[in-house]
Amino acid sequence: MVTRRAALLGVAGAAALPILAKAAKAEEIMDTSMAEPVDLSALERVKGKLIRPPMVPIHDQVAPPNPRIIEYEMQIVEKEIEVDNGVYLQAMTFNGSVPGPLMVVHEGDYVELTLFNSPENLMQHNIDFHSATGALGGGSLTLVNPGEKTTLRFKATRPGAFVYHCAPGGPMIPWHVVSGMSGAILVLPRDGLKDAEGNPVRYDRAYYIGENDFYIPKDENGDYKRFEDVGESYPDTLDVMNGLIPSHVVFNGKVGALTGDGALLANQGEKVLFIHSQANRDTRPHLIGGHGDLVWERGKFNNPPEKDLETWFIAGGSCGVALYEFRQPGVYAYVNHNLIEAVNLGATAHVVVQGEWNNDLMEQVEAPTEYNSAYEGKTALP
Amino acid sequence: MQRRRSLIALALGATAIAGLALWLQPPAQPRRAPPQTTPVAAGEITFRPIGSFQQGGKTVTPPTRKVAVRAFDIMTYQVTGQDYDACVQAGACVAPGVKVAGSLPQTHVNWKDASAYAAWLSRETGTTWRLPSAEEWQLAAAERFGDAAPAEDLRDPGQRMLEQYERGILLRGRVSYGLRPAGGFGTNSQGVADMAGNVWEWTDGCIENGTLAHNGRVNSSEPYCGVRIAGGLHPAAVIDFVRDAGVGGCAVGLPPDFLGFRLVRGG
Repeated sequence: MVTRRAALLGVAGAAALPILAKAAKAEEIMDTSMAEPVDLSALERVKGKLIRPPMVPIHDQVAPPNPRIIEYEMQIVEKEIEVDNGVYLQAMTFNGSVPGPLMVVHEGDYVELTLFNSPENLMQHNIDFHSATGALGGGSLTLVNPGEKTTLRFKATRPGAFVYHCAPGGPMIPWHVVSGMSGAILVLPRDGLKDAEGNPVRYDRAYYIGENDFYIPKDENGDYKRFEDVGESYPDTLDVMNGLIPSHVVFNGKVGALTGDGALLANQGEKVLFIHSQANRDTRPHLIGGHGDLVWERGKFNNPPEKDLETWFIAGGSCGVALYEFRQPGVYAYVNHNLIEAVNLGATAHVVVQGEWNNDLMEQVEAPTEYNSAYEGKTALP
Repeated sequence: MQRRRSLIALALGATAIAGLALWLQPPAQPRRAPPQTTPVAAGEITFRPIGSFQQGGKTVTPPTRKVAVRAFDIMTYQVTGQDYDACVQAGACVAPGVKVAGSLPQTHVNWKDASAYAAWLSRETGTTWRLPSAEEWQLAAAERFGDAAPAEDLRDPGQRMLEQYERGILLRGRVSYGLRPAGGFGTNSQGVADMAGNVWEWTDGCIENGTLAHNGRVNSSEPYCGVRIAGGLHPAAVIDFVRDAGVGGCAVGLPPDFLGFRLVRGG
């Protein structure tokens, strides 16, 4: 174990040290000690709450007038997770969940995160916030070895939903991300969301859907391999990753995680905000039987939302936001509308909506019935 | 169509030659011991047809009906990897989608594979073997038979959909993952092993299309056999050429975990 750990630290270290890297790379560790300190002592400090996705912490949709410093703590946990029944991944996680928890702040707030890399871990880790400015999104200031912690503060300068992920240098970057190390932060406008006409938009519920693509190697019998630890899984996983075809595409870390007992809940007439991140690969959410009433496709609230979308696009490495008011009760499927990924690889969630059926919205006028193909249906031919 | 006809002609020809060969040979001695069976006494079940039913032009849930099922002998265990491999080795079955260890139930077989195995076993043992009907399977499953269909009196379509989903979750909650060797899920009150474990079993039952009369009874129905009923924790309607329906996922409806089978003796 010690030798493997040492070897892995060596690999990560080599990637992190520019002197040893053969190709020119962005500096991974940065010295900011000479920078002029800023005085934020006048700002109120509050503890940010983190809860397990798909849940979103209770938050104000409209912010108090003055910016605040929101303090978060996150533990990095390397652990084995089950990504489908009987299929295991040596995962790397923010706070023990895949995806990492959703943070919610407001534009102009300061996010102050203390990142703990548990001593039991094997790998170096860091965090790159797409909502942050400079130093590779904070990645250059947060590289921590097992047993170390670090604190980063950044200003949330623009409103939107943004991905955060681990990016510890070189080939470790994609591997850590497809091993589960990504999450999202929601930076709300201080005066709340608005539609394209500038009218306030409020929601009754919010869910955070983190989508992951996994690349689980198979053995010679075609069975998925299970590994002793994260290090042992690396070489085979890299081969599958480089083929670019995921073995699993899932919401909330596991095939079926957001179905059945884990299904998302809503009531007829409620407006639900879906915050959907994919840190590595493009996706295209679609609510079967519903729509996107207001969609911030790129997830950035200074742009007017699009209306009435059927399917929306989330570029790999970004987070999109859609709002929908449920009008009909029943079960809805929220999918990645690459249907192979939705059905065969796992990217399906269910929304269970209580209420009363409205026949005005939909009615079966005639049940499936046999027809005489000799004369009926001719006018329907192309 | 031309190609299909010639295929049928070819198949008929092959059958004729095989028949001729059989006729030329002395009556075959059984080459294989029959599988262990458990007798299931005649009984009555409450059967819910699966499929598309309508009443006055609207799709409706068909009512359940009382069905008397005659006594039969059913294999005590599901067909195992070892059993199925013998058929593959004999050239009478196609290689399965996934090769399983000999003692485990053979999974990843479609309805046609299961039927081919039944035909082969019948030849090998000199006794007729066939897939059970959906009704026979339900009688054999006894207390292990489950159904996610919503209560018949629940009117609101949204509520029905939700109740069916809830019931499905309850049933699915009983599924354990990982194949178990024959007998691993124990026997039920009928003495049949591994019913409604995690391997669904093909039956000869088909989905039905029908109409209900004013009194709510099924007026007429016709089978549609491109989709067969698989028995398990809940009935599953599966297209006959599918070998793995367990991907779960899209829309609603409950997928079976694995597809396997067991046979019933006699015509």
